[in-house]
Amino acid sequence: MGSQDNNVLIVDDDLTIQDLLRDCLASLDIQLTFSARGKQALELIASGAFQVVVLDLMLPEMSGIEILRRLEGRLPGTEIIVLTGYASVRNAVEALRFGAYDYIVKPFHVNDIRAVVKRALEKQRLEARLNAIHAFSREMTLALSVAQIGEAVLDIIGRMLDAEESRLWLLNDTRTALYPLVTRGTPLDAAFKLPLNAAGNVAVAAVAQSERFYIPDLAADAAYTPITPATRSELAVPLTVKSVVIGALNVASSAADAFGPNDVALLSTLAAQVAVTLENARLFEQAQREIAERVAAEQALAKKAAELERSNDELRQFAYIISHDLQEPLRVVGSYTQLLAQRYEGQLDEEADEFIAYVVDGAKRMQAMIKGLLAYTQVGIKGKDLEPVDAQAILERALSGLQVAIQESQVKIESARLPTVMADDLQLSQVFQNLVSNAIRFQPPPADDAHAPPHVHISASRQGSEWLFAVHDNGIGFDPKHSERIFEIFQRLHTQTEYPGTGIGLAVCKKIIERHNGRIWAESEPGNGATFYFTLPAVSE
Amino acid sequence: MSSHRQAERPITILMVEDNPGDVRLTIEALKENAIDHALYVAKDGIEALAFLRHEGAFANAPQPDLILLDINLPRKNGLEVLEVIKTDPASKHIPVVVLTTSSSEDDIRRAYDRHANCYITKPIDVWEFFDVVKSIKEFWQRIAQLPPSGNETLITG
Repeated sequence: MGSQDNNVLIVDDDLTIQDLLRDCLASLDIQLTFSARGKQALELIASGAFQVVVLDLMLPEMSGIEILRRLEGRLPGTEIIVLTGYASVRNAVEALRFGAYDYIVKPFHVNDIRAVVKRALEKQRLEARLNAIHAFSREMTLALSVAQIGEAVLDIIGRMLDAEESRLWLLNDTRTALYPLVTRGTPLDAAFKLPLNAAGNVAVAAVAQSERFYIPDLAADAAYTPITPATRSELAVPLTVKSVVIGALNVASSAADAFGPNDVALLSTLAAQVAVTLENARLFEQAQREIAERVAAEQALAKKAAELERSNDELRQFAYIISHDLQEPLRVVGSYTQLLAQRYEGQLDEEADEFIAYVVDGAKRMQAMIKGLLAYTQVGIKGKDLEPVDAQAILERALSGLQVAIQESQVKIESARLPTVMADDLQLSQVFQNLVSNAIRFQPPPADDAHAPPHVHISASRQGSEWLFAVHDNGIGFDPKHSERIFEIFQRLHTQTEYPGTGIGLAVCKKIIERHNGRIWAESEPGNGATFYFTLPAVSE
Repeated sequence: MSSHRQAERPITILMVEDNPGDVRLTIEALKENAIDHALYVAKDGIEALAFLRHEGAFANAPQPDLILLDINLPRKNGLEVLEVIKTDPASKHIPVVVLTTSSSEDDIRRAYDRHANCYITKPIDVWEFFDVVKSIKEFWQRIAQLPPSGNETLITG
């Protein structure tokens, strides 16, 4: 602690006493100021510049008691010791009531006055220290960054300890070395490190032993070498969070035994406070970093999603425009080949008729594919919001659209009572139509007498928050290894002559069901019919 | 039937169409349906409006009884042409059949918003196309009982 805070005011009109006090306090490290008059003394005391005042109660102009009364109790940073004659001890008691620290009865012994002044100074010193620690604690609760905390703790150390050097060391992430977070005194290189396995350093010793470590005289202890050669005494206190050492507070002085028990206690108090605050700040910084990282990740994801959405949109638009615009020239090709076939059949040679037939067929198929592609691209673009719809009514609507095919194939269609589900009615109707028309189409040739008449059965069962639909047929079925492939666009398992088709129907079903947050799959064995399953959200109750 | 046909005069048709294949197909359809017609062709929207206003090379162009209008046209598209036709007192009474590849709901709505008399998507199958042209003839015969153009009296079948 600096001597600037040891100001003592002697107030006595008796010059002999002034001299006496000067002599007996000379051995203390203090600055003495003298006053012989009451009014002047009051002003000096009220200025707050003195830690200790020795005040004679008998003064000209204004009595010591009056001064105390005018001060209205004690000044927080000042201890007042009153001097009183033996005859007027009652005055001393009154003085104590007005906030005096202690009293001395004249005549007094030199040692007594010295002891009382010393004690008063010590009390002031401790109080100042306590105030500083309180202020420091408040500062700590406001400190947000590790660096701010380090600066604040070295500031208070600088004010309260006679240390020429002070450092806050932290363990690195691998816990193999100490690095200086902040330093006062001899500057250290930014990359300076104290390896934990190196012997001879006080801070390292404190960290290694998780214990305060004090070398009062380095000159007498060859085992320890200070960072600054001039250092004679050095003290280090570990910083501990939940019994894990994270670093050390370290002070050094060029004087031998510069740090007393009070200093050790103070440094320990500061270390405890700093360790907790550092940990909080570290957690806070980590949380902030994590939040920032998460926000950045979310932004990146959102950006990616937006890009994907845009490119998806573009793709959809592209597919739509392409399939739409391709129709135009294809219609012309188709129309003229139809005309050609009708008007010139038999007029050219047989080969020409055959070629024309292929052109007509190819154009027709391409038209069907483009139409299907258009329907496929429109699933996402033209879809309506999902709303409760009666699947039974929708199935009936779909079947009425298939009336001709149903009559021609003499298929028997049965269905259980279907539920109300969340769907786009037009799209659900499309799914039923595609699945039932597949079931009708993929039947064995009529010549196959052994086969039972075509049969399709549609049912639904509740599965948690969904309805599971099943469209079962007794048709030709398929090899289970193709059960994924059949849902891909333009993928077919049969030749056009066996079973004509575009390979779009199931792809459209898949796209529609996925748009409804459902799943679609199929189970089958060759020759044993097939069952197509799909799920749709139930109406939430 | 033939006595009715004699009472009819040829239908004057303005076809606004940039694809010669479609023009020819329409001629085939008119022939196939034995429609007595005079077909004029404008290859884009600008030409169509010049024809209707008797401008430049079209000074002697007749007023059509019926306009077949495509939507995807160079220079000025069919919807723009339709808007001009239907806001001009000199032409707004002429029936306009929008005959196009587009089956887009937007196009259909926009065409009717601009007072198209009829919107037909060109069928993919040629025989269906011929049927469409036949229905246009029937459509015209019905609609042609409406205001006579000039001092001619139209007799319908």
